[in-house]
Amino acid sequence: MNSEDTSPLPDPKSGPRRDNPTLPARLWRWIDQRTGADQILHRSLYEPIPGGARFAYVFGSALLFIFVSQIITGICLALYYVPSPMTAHVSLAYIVKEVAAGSFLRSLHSYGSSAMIVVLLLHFLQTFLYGSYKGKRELLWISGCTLALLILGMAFTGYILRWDQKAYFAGSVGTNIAGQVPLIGEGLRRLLRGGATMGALTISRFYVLHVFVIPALIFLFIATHVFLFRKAGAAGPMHEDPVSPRLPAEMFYPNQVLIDMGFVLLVMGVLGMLAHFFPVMLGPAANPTDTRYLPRPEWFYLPMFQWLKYWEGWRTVIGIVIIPVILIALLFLLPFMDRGLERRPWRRPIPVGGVFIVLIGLLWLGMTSHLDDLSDPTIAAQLTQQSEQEAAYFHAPFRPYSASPSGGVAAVPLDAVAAHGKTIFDSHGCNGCHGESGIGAVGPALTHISSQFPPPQLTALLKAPTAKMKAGGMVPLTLNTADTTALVSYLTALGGTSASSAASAPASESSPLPPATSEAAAHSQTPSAPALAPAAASAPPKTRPGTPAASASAPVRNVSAQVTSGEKIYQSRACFACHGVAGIGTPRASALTVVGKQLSAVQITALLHNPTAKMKAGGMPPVTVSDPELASLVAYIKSLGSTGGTTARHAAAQPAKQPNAQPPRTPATVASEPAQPPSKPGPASRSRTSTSSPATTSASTSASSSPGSSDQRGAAIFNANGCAACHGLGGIGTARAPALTKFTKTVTPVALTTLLHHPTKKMTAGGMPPVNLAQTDMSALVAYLQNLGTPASAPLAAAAPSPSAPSAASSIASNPVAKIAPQPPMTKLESQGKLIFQAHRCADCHGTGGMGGTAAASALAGTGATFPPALLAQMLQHPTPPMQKGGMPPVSLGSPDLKALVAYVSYISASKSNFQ
Amino acid sequence: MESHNEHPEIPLEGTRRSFLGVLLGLAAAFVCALLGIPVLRYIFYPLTAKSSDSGWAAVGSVANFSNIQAPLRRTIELKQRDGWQETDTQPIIYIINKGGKIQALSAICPHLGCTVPWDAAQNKFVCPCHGGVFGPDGAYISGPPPRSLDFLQTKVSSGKLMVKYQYFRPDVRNKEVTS
Repeated sequence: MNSEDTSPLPDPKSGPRRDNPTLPARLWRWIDQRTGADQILHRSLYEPIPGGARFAYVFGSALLFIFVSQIITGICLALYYVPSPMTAHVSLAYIVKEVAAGSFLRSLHSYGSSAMIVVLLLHFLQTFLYGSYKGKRELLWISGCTLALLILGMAFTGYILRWDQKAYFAGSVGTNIAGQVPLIGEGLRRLLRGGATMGALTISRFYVLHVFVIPALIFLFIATHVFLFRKAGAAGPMHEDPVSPRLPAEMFYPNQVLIDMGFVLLVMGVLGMLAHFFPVMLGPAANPTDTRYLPRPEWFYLPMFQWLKYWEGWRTVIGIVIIPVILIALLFLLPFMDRGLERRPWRRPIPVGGVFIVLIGLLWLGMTSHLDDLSDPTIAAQLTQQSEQEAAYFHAPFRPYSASPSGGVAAVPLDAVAAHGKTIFDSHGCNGCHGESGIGAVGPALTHISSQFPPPQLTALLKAPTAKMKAGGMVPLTLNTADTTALVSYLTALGGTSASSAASAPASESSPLPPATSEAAAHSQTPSAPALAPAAASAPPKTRPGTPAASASAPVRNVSAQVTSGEKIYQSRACFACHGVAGIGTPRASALTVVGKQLSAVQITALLHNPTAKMKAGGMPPVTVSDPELASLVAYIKSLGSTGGTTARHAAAQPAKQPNAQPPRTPATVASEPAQPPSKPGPASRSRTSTSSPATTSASTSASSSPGSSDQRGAAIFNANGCAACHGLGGIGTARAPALTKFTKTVTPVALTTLLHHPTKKMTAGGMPPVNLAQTDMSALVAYLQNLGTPASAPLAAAAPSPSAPSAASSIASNPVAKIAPQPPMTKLESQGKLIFQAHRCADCHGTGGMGGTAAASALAGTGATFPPALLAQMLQHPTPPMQKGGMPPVSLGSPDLKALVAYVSYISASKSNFQ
Repeated sequence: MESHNEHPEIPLEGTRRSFLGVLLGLAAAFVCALLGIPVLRYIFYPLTAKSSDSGWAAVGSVANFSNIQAPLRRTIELKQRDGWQETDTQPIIYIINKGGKIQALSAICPHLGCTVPWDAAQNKFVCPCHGGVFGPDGAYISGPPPRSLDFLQTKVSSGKLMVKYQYFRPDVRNKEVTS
């Protein structure tokens, strides 16, 4: 069948001719006499096909051809690819983003693997329907089935090697499936992974399998397959006798060769077009800590992926090992079971029916998986976001791997004087406006300053700023001469840095900075000084008196997508609980608006990774998110420092999204401040908070001003101090911190007080700060904590309509956009549903009254608006896979109870939507 | 089934055969081009890739070098792209004062690339590998090197001496920048 790779050099007929042979003919004869090539060529080309050439026979040749193409493109990829966790992804990114035709060849390889599977399926269907395994062709069939498995193995092992998010999780799931094999499973998984977890040895192993072992086996089995095929001969059409063909035979060459070639052209053309116009994406590097990532396999493993969802507990082994093994065994043994010489499919209903049931099943599984994802709005949104992230990463400029990830802002070593100048620059808050290393922030960049002003003039300017500079917030410097000289020397050195970076234009692209930093650098490159000054001048000059550097407000800058996604992370990780809405700060933690101005992106990144001891003591945990997410978060934090517009947007938009997560403000505070109309918050809202922040703790104010019981007072403290951010509303617990509903009852009030005063190491590590409260407040908090989970405390969170509950009321009141809508009274059915909701402990995950929600289970806000009652009922009885993943069990209730529950869920979500 | 004929009957006359041959040849050419052109571009990418311009590096204040007598050894920090990674290299340069003009020399021997140390006792650069000898201004004196030590581009930017570090092709008479 393989004519392509042995394409006739010169005319094969010219070999035997003697009369005055041409040079190519003589050369051919010379080779033939030494190799027997002529005979080999004849043997390959003049294979008789009973019944003649047909389109149906093209798939085998096509497979062979795509395989050759895979080898060529695969060798190309191996030329630059380096298999190790540190380098796999970056070297592939290099191929895709930098190397000429790299993206095309890699896409061709990737699409080629899909094409292999498609054509393999067609080849299987053709030979199966034609009964081509009949008549002493059992070994031919078995070698083909082995090849099919090997090709699937190639697809799987190759997929892992890209080591992006998708690949990592696909590998993780795939190796875990191997772990399900009885008895040897655990060993097999460790063997595949090269250890307990996915890592360096996993990549090596998959690389060796993909590049050496499986290809070698494929070569071996292709040789066997072709040999056995030639031995048995082409089976011909389905009405032909498979053992002794009666139909007149036509030779393989030329007609079948031409048809094959045509099909190959079609396939290669399509693959080439796809690779050129729709290059295969590459996502960000694998990040196992990203818990929100939804792994989805390649399309050909989607049925298997869906299949896995239906098996749990001890039955898993049946679903994912035994049944597939049986099916594969049946496939291999097909020629031994379907033994008759009858080849027409309609005369072989059992095997044909069986195969079609399996195929339709696979198709159904794949479609179900796809439709499941589409039908769940959160999943669909997350998947869309993932593919957007993938595309964003794919299109972002290449950033090389750097063994020493230094900040790289000021790569030039400073001499002693300039180094001292840098200390002054940093300690006097110059960096607050002019950015880290003078790259520019709200104040103009200083990196070109030395080319504009020689040192004496610079000194003069520092001592006596121009009116324009003063308007922008620049203060005259009062330094002694040595310090001034040092500072000027440093500023001059910045000029040097700038000259060097200006000289190497692509430096910013190739430097290993996180995106946020390059963004900051980009700001500095824009000649923004004149543009910035008026904006800064027009802003309120003293928003935060303590830091003159930070006093100038910012120009409104477009909020980039990165900032938006950083904002999402800020919300989802409950950073606002301590740092306030839009980072305006709370008594618990400093305002990020200042941090964003004072620190560089690199510094912020480092601090987020490794908080200082002081930050940890205050309850700041290390931030574990993927690099791109961290970069977005940093970009967001930086934007807080400089963008009045963003702050305003936040103050208005954020509470609407997370009403219950709003940093609680006390009724007292709220009462003293009329709600801000959302149209003009901006700096005003910021200053409002900063005026409230000097108060020792707002909780104590609240506690003293709220007339309620000690329990309500405790609740107010609990909420005001941000305990709810981690421990959940009503102490129901979240992914970040344990529930307090049970634990607090197991200890004495004294022990609980001590624990709050002096958290254990484990608690501190989780982000729990020591609680310092006045004795009365502390006892109120302890009392509240110990009552958690009892019916008495439930209304605190649940009873939004109740005006006596200060926690809920305050969270609403502090929300400038929310309006307290009168709650419609519950119908009898709905109250019945509420009882069921409570009795079935739905609140454990969804929060009391469905208001809370945890990382695993969302709050039920808007559920009623999104899902009609019938669908809600169905989802309760048959949770979707993502719901199951979050721990949602199927609800087995009688019809009336279910109806009541659905009514209640609709009720709470509808009432909830009043706040939005 | 395999019945190999010595000279199988070719049921086609010449013109159709050659037409089919052309067709096959075209098809083969198409596929070869589809794969071959990208593959060649891909493999030969290092030849066409623009060399990473390492840019200018600051050596120090010009004032420090204004009255140097002998070549002054300095190490500069250089970030370089090495395929998909970025490496920090610290190449050595010599600052010399040639008739009142401050200049920078690459310490890489133009013979075969060894690092040439300054021998203060002999007042010469002496290559430790094959014994190339250069004067205090880098000029070739003796030994196998085909040319003098290579000057690097310098400039003064706000009182700082900046050097553009480059690599030069070894063992050729004329200085040729390689990267």
